[in-house]
Amino acid sequence: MPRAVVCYKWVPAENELRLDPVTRAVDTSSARWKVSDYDRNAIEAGRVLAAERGAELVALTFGDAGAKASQKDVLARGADRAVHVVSAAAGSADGHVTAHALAAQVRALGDVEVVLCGEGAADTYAHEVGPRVAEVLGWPVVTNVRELAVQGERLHAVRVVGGDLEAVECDLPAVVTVLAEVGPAPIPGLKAVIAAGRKPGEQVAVDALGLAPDALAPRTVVTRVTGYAAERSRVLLDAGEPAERVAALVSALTETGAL
Amino acid sequence: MWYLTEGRQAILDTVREFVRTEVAPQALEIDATHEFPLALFKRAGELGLLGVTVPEEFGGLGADQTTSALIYEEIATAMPVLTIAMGAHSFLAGGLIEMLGSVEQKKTYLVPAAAGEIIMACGSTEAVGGDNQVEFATRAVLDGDEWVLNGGKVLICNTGVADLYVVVAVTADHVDPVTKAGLSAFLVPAGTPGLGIGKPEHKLGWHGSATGSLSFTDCRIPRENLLGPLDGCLQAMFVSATTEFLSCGPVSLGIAEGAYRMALAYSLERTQQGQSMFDRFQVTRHKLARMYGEIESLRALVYSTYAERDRGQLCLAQGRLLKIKGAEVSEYVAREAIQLFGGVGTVVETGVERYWRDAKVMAIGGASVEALNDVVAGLIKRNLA
Repeated sequence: MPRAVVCYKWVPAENELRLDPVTRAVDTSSARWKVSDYDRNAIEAGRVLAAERGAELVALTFGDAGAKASQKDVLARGADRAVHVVSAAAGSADGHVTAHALAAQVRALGDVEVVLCGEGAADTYAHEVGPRVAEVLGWPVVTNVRELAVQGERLHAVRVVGGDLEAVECDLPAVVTVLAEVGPAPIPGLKAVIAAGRKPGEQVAVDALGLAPDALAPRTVVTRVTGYAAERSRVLLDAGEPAERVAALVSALTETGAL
Repeated sequence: MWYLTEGRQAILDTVREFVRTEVAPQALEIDATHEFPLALFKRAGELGLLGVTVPEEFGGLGADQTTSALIYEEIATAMPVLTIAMGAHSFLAGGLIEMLGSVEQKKTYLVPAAAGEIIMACGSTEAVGGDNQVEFATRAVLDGDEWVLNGGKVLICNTGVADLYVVVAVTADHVDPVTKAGLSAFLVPAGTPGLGIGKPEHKLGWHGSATGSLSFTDCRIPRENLLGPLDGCLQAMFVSATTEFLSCGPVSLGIAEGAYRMALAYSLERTQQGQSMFDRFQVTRHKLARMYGEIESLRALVYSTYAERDRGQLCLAQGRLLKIKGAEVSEYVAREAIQLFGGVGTVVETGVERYWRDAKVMAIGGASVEALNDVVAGLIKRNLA
């Protein structure tokens, strides 16, 4: 049976992050974790594609032990099987490491005709992993996809390029990164959630994939993560007649470069 | 939480997504317009939230009561009235059909009800008082192959939107004051000639619950629409009411949590003289600590009671205690949340005062806490608590 693989990331819910008011350090300790948003769209697109192709849909993630909790979710969303490549160092991995780990598992699965990824992860939004997986596998990659179809051994996609749409085709196997526009990610029904408990979820140690040390060595290191917040100038222009205040407002905006 | 098994956590995560993305964004609008949340009710059916404890053979999930409690708690954090509509549909009407119905009746009604394809309501309360069954005036008389209903019901949830009404009527000469024998349940489809639907009441809280009256004027239904034994539906009503009272525990817990979360976030964000209200005022911190304590105490009571229920206990007294204690805690926490917001807390658009309005109705709707305390006292005396 051919396989479609959806790569996803288990991330902290961004609306539950806390920001230290002084240092602006990001505190994830009280945040719940979730499947990254675009990845949910990718799973649904993969589910539809796999159903059309009579393929098995495998949901694949690379993460530390905590990411095991994601498997019931992706199985409820329509994956037939979930595979978690486990690494204690996944939290400090960059796109290079992540792509090598995912690509190695895609090879290990075999018979994969398409790999889908979200366009970017909800936490880092680096847009790296999909193209890097394609590079490691030596497969074509189509990014920014909003429409997707497979006919025979060819993949047809419509990409968003700035304000334009570009229709492209490529041979399978291929890697595709999708936008939210590829289709909504429906909330699974509770019957699917319960059924997910009966589907297979596997853990594979990253060391078992036979990767070279270089593949597991991050090329970039995150040195600091701080929240971004706009500074308010707190200027009140309340002197003079309305026309004078408008002039003062225009002047102040011009000085700051806003106008 | 000790009651969050892996399976329940997965269900809770799904319900949270539904609440965050679909329920919460509509909560203020439903409260303002008093419109029955029809689209959300249908979505709840699609997702499987309307038949959680219904056996799988009748379209439900066959899950336990604790799972149902988790779902009701989570939805009530954002839109308590949706749980009221769900409870009237699933626990009151659905509960009676599940306990009293024939296999054919269960297949006919529970399967589409669990999917949200039909909406159900339960007509029991009359103007003489909800638990004053001996003076109920709605009567059903057998005429050939049809039952003929005459009378009226008041304060019934889901009126006007329901496709099916489960109606309790007197079928004997009188209702026995001790055994309450003499009451029977009937299935009355919407649109039956003689069934009148009153306009929804404009209430303090539970806006959108479509609470209104029913009237029966020579309302004829087929003989086979009798639900369960003739003259003997009261025991099932007592059990289905217990299930509904139990559900008031998690609903009240959700109301309290929703108000508390808003108050906590506001206290941390609102600043005076360079400090958050939380950091500046000890009274703010202490209010929040006490609100948190009350919520956690209620949580312990709710989920320990539901664990007993899942072990097969009827929880006749505890079920009523959940409604009593839940009403107290949710009203207290919501009141204090408004207080922490100050003046803006009284502004409807702020969205916090609606929790107090909904909590207030919890102390009365379905049965008043005073009436329930009396039932609990009776159960204590008979050593049934």
